[in-house]
Amino acid sequence: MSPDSVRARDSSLRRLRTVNRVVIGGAVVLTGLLSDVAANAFPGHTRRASAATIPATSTGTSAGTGSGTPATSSSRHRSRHHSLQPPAQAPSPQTATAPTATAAPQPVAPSAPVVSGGS
Amino acid sequence: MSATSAIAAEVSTLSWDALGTSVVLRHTGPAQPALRTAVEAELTAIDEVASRFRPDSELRRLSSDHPQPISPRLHEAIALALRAAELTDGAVDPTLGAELIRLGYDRDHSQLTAVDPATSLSPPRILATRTRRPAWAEIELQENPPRVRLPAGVVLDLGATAKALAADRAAAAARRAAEDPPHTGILISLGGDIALAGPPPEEGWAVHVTDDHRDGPDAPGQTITLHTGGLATSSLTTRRWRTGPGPHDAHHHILDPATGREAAPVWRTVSVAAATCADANIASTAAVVLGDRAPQWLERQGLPARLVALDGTARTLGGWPA
Repeated sequence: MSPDSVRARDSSLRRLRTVNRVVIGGAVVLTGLLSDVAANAFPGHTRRASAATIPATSTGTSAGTGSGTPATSSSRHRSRHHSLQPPAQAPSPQTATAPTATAAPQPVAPSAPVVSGGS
Repeated sequence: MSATSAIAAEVSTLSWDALGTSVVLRHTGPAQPALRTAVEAELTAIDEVASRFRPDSELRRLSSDHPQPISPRLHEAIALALRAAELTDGAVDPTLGAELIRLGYDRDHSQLTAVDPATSLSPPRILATRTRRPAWAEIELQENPPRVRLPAGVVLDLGATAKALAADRAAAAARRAAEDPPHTGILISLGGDIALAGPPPEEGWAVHVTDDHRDGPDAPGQTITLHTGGLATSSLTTRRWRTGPGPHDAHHHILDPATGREAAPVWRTVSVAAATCADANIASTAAVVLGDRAPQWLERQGLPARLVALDGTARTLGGWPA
């Protein structure tokens, strides 16, 4: 084999190696992208909650809160509902004024406070 | 179903009965019939899927131990109930339906034998505490398509959270149905569970907290002003029934998952304000169950709350007005 032929062969092999690397790298990136697209396009998942075992107590008043491993669930669920949310504005003392009313007496008077209690 | 309507210059109020309790719809601006229609549609929809007492409800048709398709609305109600259980480490447990039935709460409360309101709250007779893994942690809930698998023998009771969810949804629906949604403020009270939507009146919404929402604004309690979010009150003085003449035959509806019996009476009534009525209801129910540990737990949650002890002494937390 002539030196020119050897050089040509080596050059072709190098080009082939480069092409292989590009193709493999591209395939890896494309696989990742398609996986992400598929995960977002088909969000169905099974959520199975887990929780600490409720401990036995002698008083019978325990509900297990604060004494065990915190409950866990899927990350998607947890990211939406990680804690109870306080109001944007806390309740304030009652103001003196009330909306004006024109109607006759009613079971719920228009200007009377709405009642929150057990039901 | 009875209804009353009153039109005020700035605020309109409607009240009627639904879901076995009273509904109050109050909104800024003149009366708009479409708002009540929207509220009623939401209440009917939640009743059809989540009622434990309607034989035709979707909840009643659920069987346990195998996956089954459910409606998106029931999925939402169950997801909220599981969220309540998770965030309270099981203090608010939706899987106590069988225990409630065993205690006699097997039909609408109006059909049960009432307890004399003067009957004192006494600790339940506890036979054993539970050490097994809670059943709610075994529920498998799938979002898309919505499906659920309940552990064998589990009977769901979504009563606490579903009512609050209905109030939140009804307030949002009423606002959407308003002629001018951006400028219409809505207050919905569903048996004393209150949800707000939209801009409140300039002076805010006046709300009186007391033991029983049926007692009216003159009952002992406190009147406050709400601007956003929701408010819920849980009380051991209401929804009580009797299964016999004995001292342990008087029951109430808030159960301690650790015992499967009524929560021990530490707080008579707990009111909590939160970003939604659902969150407020979760916290107020949990506080009743937690008893002595409730104040510390509520402070960790950062929620404004008012707790009334058995002797009537009120304690306020988290920015609740004194």
